[in-house]
Amino acid sequence: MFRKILIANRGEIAIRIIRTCREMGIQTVAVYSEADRSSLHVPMADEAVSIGPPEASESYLKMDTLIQAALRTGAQAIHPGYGFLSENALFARKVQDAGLVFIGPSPQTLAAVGDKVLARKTVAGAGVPVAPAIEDLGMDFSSLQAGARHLGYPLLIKACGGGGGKGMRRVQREEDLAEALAAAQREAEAAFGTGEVYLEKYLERPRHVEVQILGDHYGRHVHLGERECSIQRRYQKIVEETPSPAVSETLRQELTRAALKVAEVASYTNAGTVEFMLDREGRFYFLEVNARLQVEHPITEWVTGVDLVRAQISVAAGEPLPFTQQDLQPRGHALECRLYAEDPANHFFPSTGKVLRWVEPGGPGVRVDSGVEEGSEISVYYDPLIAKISTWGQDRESARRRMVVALEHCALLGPITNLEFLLQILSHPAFIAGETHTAFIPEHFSSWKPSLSKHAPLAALAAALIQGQRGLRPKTQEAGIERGLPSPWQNLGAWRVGL
Amino acid sequence: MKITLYCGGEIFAVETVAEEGGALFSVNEQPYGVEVLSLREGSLTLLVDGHPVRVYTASRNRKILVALLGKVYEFAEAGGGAKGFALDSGRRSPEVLSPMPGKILEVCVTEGKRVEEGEPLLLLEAMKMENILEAEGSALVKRVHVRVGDVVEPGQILVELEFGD
Repeated sequence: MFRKILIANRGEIAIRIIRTCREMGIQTVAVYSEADRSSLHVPMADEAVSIGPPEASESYLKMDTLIQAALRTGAQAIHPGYGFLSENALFARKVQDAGLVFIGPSPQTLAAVGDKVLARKTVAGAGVPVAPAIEDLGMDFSSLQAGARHLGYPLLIKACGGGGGKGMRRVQREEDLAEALAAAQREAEAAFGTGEVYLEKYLERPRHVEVQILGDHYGRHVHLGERECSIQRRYQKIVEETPSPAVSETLRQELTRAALKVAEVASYTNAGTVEFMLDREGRFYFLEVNARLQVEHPITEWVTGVDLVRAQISVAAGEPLPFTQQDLQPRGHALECRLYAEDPANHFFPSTGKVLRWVEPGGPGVRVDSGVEEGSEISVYYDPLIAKISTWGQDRESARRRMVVALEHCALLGPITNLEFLLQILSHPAFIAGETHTAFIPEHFSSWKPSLSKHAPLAALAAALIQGQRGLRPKTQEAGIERGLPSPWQNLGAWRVGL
Repeated sequence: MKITLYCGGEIFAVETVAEEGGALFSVNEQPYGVEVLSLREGSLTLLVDGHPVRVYTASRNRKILVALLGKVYEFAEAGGGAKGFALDSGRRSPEVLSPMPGKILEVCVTEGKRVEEGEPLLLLEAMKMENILEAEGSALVKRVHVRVGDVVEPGQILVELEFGD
């Protein structure tokens, strides 16, 4: 087992990994950019190394800096978290060449599944259904147009080099193809270093269902069930759950069998996720493999009782999987909501600034994975994820109600967040009925604006009391405001007023 | 005490009236019986007509932020609000402000052009994604303050519109 691991990431996932390492008695090394000097993950580790300016390209993406930090501190392995370099085959190769262990799949597997088009071809060859697509775009534009017409509109342009919604565009009509292609290519180039894209048939109101897989270095693979991740905005997930309300036991067998076949054909080791799209007729199509630990992994941990980070570390250390497929019997239902610093009323644009107040929910069956604290600065340099709140219940409705209560007890003041928006999603009749699909948000929440609720007067009362209290100290008189006495603060406590 | 607050385009007039050593609270003339159970830095617990209410609070730029049951209210005080701050966060504001730091990739309009609701004004690159800023209603483009390649700050004026047909 490793004595020391360097965590090449930041925020909540760095904290998550550090926690498990500490539980396993493994020493940890945190890395931080200049923007993360006061971030929570730093003091949680045993050692910390400064790695450069705020821009990810100058810090968390600097392969040599990270490897040097590991070597200098005597770490034996690097855990890449998610995003950043977690699926970068070159980085995994460099880590290995430096004599360190990359906690994730092998460089070969990363290269094979990282090329989305190659991955599609490989699994199709193994008999796994894939969505109709045009994979090779190296043709003149009119041939491409003809091909696209044949594929049918609307269609999706997707980046070959990565996911997370970057480099992705939906094209409704033929007239929009050229411009959308150019935009997608630009975005893909900026995000992944390659502007290569492919076209895929757009399925109407599909569901996004993914299967968690785990493989050890002895050729054994298991799956840990499926996750339903259809509630998305900008092609990024914000609500996830397991099991999927749309997946029958039969379909589950088929999906997990397909996922294991993909694992096999990719000689997959360590943790990964096989993504599928489910169309309205219940047919599924392979989308891609996410060769990393995913943001939404907590819900799988809830229903299986497995610590996926621990499993990753064990596998990387050469241990065989400590469980068989039969040992994995999921129980109950789990939900996750991603609290983002963004404005749902303004195209979900990220919101930055200092966290003035942060109150986390708690209680039985509630888990919070957060990377912020009061005083944290949400910056533009990184993903504006504030926290993941996940809940477990005996069944879907219990888990949902638990989530609603948890969100109501959650508070963040400072940047704008999607908290109210998440509450509305969770309370929507369509969500309660399990009618989730990837167009859920545009369908039910297009042009959403926050509304003043019936509690607004109470909030105003509170604000007035705060403001009135401030007026006790000598201040310049402001036009139109009277600050007459008596003030409630004179006898704070058991002071009662009114009828 | 009489304080007038604005939030989300609505007015809240909060008053207390001295009455035999105590006071009555009203919000927009609706009466409430209020007892303060606790007041701490950042949180306030009230008993309002017998119902306990816990809010979390913070202040920023002379505004009071209140979190209650998953919602955030931002109150500005009448006569004391921050200068130039649009009441409902810039919606239908004639000044199109940059929502985040970024770089102008494309300017889709010129001064004097008429735009319709939803029509793209600018393309802004931020956080590795391209964001389209659209007109919030029919308007005339009065002034364009930026050029392609400009790096902008949040709150920076990008375009000025004059709404109306």
